[in-house]
Amino acid sequence: MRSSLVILILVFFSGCATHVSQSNLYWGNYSNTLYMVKKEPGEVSNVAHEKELQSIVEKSKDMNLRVPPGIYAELGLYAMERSDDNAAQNYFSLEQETYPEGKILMQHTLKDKLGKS
Amino acid sequence: MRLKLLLVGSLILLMSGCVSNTTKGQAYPEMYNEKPVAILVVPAINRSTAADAPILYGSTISEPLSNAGFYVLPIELTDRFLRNEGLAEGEVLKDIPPQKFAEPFGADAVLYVTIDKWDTNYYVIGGNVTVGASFLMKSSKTGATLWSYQDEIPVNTSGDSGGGLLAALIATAIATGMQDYVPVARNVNLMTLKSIPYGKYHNNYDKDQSQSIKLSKIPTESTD
Repeated sequence: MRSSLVILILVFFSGCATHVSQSNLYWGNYSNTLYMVKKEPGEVSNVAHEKELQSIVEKSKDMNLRVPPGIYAELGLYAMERSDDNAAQNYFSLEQETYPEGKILMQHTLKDKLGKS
Repeated sequence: MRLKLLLVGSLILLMSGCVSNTTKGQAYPEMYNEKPVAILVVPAINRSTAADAPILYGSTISEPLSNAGFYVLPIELTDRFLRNEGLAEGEVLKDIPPQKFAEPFGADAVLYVTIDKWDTNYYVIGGNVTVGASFLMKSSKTGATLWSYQDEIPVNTSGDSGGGLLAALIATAIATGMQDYVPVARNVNLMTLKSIPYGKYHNNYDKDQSQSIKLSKIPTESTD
């Protein structure tokens, strides 16, 4: 009994990886990989973060969930930095389709080609 | 044994009625009037001694704020825009009315976070740590305050004598080798965002006016 309580509370605190929020979002390891990009900028952390973004898209689709805000946009930014403008445009469109509230920013971003600045 | 004490401490902290009770509807009527969806999170204002706190903190807020039902304008994009405009410092942005810079982002509201206190050395056994943060959300149409919250969480990390929610998290952080303050940041976010009226994408959107919340401090107009 006591051990099950301990486990329950540990799960509560651990931010369990497969957790889906009350807004029905799956974030995977997003906060950790993005944090590493900030903490130790470079290829290793960026590759890991981009992979995680792709995994969040796949798993969200598998679970029939909306892709969380900003995930497509960040993938678009990575594509833009590789000068893959078609992929970038595609991702920004997906962000905008998922969240119409992001339309102004997505169009602004495409116009300014921020990734190249 | 220590874990058990930490857990007991956590539960006591959770249950203690040492703060004022109110409801979301009473505390934040403007949120229910304006119903902001798209939120621009500007770089955090740093009043702590950790120079890299704002940039690291920025990686922890999208997830919980989105989970509360909002569309968080992608921070990786908005940060670049702000930097290009010479507005990378939260300190500078604080003094500019949100109506003046939020429009190009399509933001309904702007979230300002001030990191008041921070300590990256919390994992040193025997130390004391206080984590403090203030949150302020302003309408980008009127500049009025829609939501604000301030919290300060003192933690005794010296082991058996104290404990609490953060101490339990710190124990987790040590166990996972993540000797950094991201778990603390997450916890501050979680505790803080319990008070925010849910946004459009949350299951309980516009149904949480009567939900009771605890305010450790009366919300103020200023982030100072």
